[in-house]
Amino acid sequence: MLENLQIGIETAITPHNLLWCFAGVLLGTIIGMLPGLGSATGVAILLPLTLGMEPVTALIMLAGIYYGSQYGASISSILISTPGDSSSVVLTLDGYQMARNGRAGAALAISAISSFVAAVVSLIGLMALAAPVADFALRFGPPENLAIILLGLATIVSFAGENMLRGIIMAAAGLLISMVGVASGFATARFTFGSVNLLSGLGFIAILIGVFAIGEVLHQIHRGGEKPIKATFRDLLITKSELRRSVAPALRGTGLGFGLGTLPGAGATLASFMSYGVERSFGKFKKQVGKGAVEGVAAPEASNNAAANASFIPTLALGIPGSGTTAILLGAFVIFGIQPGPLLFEQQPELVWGLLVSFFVGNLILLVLNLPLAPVFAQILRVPYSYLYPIILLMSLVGAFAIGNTSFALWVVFGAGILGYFMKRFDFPAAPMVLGLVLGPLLEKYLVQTSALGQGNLLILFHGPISATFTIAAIVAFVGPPVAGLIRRRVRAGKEIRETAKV
Amino acid sequence: MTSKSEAPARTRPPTSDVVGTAILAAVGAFALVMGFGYGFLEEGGKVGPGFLPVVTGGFILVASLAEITRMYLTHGQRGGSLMDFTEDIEEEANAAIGQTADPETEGSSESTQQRDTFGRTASPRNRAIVKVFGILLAALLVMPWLGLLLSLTAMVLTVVLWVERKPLLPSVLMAAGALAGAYLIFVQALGVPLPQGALGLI
Amino acid sequence: MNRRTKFLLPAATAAAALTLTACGGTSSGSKDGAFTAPNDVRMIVPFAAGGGSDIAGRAISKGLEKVTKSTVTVENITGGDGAVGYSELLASKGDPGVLLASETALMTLPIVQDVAFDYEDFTPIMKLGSDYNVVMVDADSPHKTCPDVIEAAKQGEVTTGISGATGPEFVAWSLIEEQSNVKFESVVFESGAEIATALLGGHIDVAMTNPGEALGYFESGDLKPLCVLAPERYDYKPLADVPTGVEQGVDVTFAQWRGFIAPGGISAEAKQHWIDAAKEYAKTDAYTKYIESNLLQPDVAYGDEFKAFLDDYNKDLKRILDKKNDK
Repeated sequence: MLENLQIGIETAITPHNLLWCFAGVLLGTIIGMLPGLGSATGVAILLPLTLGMEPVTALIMLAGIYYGSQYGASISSILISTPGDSSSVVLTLDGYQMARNGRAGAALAISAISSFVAAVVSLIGLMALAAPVADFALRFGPPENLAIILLGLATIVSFAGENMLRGIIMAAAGLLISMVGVASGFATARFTFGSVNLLSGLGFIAILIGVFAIGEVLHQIHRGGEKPIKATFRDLLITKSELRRSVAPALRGTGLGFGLGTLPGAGATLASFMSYGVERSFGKFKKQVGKGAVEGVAAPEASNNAAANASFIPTLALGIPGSGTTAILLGAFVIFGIQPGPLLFEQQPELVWGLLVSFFVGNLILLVLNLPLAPVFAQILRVPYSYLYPIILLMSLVGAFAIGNTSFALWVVFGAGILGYFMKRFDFPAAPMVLGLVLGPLLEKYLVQTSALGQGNLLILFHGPISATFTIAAIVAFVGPPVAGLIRRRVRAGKEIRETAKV
Repeated sequence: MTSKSEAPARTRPPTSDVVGTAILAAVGAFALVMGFGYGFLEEGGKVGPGFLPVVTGGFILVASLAEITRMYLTHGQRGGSLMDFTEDIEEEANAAIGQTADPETEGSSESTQQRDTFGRTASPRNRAIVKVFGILLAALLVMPWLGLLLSLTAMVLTVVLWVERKPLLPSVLMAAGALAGAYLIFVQALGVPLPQGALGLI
Repeated sequence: MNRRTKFLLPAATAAAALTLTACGGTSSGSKDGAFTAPNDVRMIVPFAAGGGSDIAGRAISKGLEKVTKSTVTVENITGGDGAVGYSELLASKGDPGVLLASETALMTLPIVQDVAFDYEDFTPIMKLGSDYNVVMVDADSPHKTCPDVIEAAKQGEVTTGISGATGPEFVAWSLIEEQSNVKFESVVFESGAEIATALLGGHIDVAMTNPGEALGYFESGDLKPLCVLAPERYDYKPLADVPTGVEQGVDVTFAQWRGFIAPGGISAEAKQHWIDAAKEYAKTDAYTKYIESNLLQPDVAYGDEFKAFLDDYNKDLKRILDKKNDK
């Protein structure tokens, strides 16, 4: 293990690789900050730039772009509530609230620090556990993966906010939207109405841009706009108590993210949603989560980053990407003639360990770069919204085009913008819908595979110990809170201490 | 994050909520029907392409109807509904919202005269939304001729001048800056083949 | 990298046609009359960056840049499982300045989905090579040859993994089923790597995939190749000893092909220009390197020869896929 670390350090800390790592992190951060652009788009459009480099250097730079743009997407989620990535959607909840409460700088700092903590812990995890974890991941077949997705969907219960039923309905609506196009495992085109553009479905990122960027802008106009926040520089700095409160959630998030990230296909989005759910359901300050609590920033951000790092285990060792971004990175590997697989760790130790150590270096750069810059970024909130929002509209639309170089995406953004506006206006929560959208294709894929394996019998979910455990956990997570609510109400009614509506 | 149940009249739920939920119910019913057309199960009882649309659509339909029922029940008299547990959570959230003074309730109930940060009152605000939607749509429609960047820049300029009524010079400067920024980032740095339209300028 | 090109709104066909006629001439040299090679060429890749098509498209465009004077720019136009990119090529009718990195989706899409194009709407230029399938099992599996697997399917349940519901693996399995009158239980995955790990984890019994996606597992000994469904054995090292299906009595050689095509309606000179360039490209080291690093069989074909291959290919494909649709 130490030997590997040494190989990694020697590879990653050459001036040349350091420089490109820095360039990647910086470029990634800038791209991620643009409304609507996240890590998947960032890596995809910058990939051609790296084609002329040495494989290790190119991959180090691409990885830098990856977490740089993830962090950048967090910045735009926190400051203007326009996530560029599904994994930073959660930050629009508490992160944005913090920004509105004048704590933008603190939110950005916590997000940078949690990312860094996650990177360090998960790097140690990667070095100690990469091989056994990859072996363990092999035991996750279709039923096991299906069970994980079901568990992930069950976490929406903790997102639904004030009206649980509505949250669940929106998650189902997200699932439904994800079904447009040709289904995984079938040749049947669904809900396409003859349109070629719809065959591969409504672009997920385009919907994200529409609902969050456009929807938010229009909603702001409706509400009369947020007042520019005039916070002094000192106010933007993170306080000791905020820092202290973030430690435990960041560590919990790291653990959860690392675990989920190692599973093929599960990925960072699920991790960030689930760890937010954990804070909201079990955290010490759970009552404050959702209203601008540091826990709601630290946990998902740490888990998002840990999952991103851990997802390199299935990507490198099994060739199975854990997210849209690692899928593109996987393609980059192949372009450089590197075949991910069981032998990669043995055959190309400089590459693997150089890359892994560069995660640490990159995250350090990210921290050093962003801690001082966080209050500077927060200044964007002082720009009058009347000037800011037209630019958000412009950037998000150009970004939406850049995803697949088709103008159809622009119409998706437009439609999703209308939808997003009405959802905000009539108080239908957006986060559960995003979760449904992200998990929908995976749910269907594993469902169809499981059903094929069981020859129509879905009860094979309960045949293996792993899938049975997760399925039962999913059922408990889904049914538990409502039942607990019912019981609590019974008890309260019995004691007749239930107050009638205060309002 | 507003709750319409905050409204003073508790006898009838707000129409917009009922209509929105009813639309969802209709979408669910549609997916249910379409799903059966795609094939619910395949031979041997295996999951077919219509399985999830049917299950999800059916779920949305049932849940939306339940939600509508809940809205009527809880607004008439409290209790007796299976969905009571949601009220507990609702109450907690409402208490919290009360502290942070929700801007929408502010806008709709208290202060029709009160001006917002844009200097608008309630009704021009709604007009502004329609205007922005219209400008956005127009920008997308002229894109095949003007190209993406130019039509979006025109959009920015129109929004700032016509909707926001900002002075000419700063507006033009801002629109030009946005254009230059987008051009440098997307076209020069990232090499995205942005559509130039029939005009073929940039 | 920075060349911006004429843009069409795929949805508004009428407007698109207008735009095209208005400005199609500027990017190419082909007004009526003498043909001059276009300076700026677009290479459409109908799938996202990093995928197999993207790798092929980038290799081809680099190769063509070397042998012609044109600048060839890759554009990933994604969506519709490739259909959006092909539709863009359809709309570029008559423009010799547009090419597309093509593969089997060119023919599966028109059969399975409701799209406006057919493979005959385009001008085939070059088939670079074929990516045949290798049938494989877990190292601990009792099966030793492909006929073993077929025999096992006659006795009872055998689960296979295929990538994509209508991909080349699906067609190849269907051809085997047809030939040997057996039935496999197939589970659809999304990539060869997923299939390989499902084999490793013991979730499926047997699978086939492109050699490139499983080579690492053959080298490490985790997976065992049974036969390659190709007309000839591979030269590449870990595969050289693997017999072909034909040798074992399984006469199925259905493969994914890769190549590039031009829009329909281009002049004979333009077509010849690209075929000549392609022939030049096939002689370069860059071509050999692409073929070798992706473990393809270099069975090249140009122009009309390529077209004849496509006609044959389409017959098999159509028979199998129509049967699936009828079910």
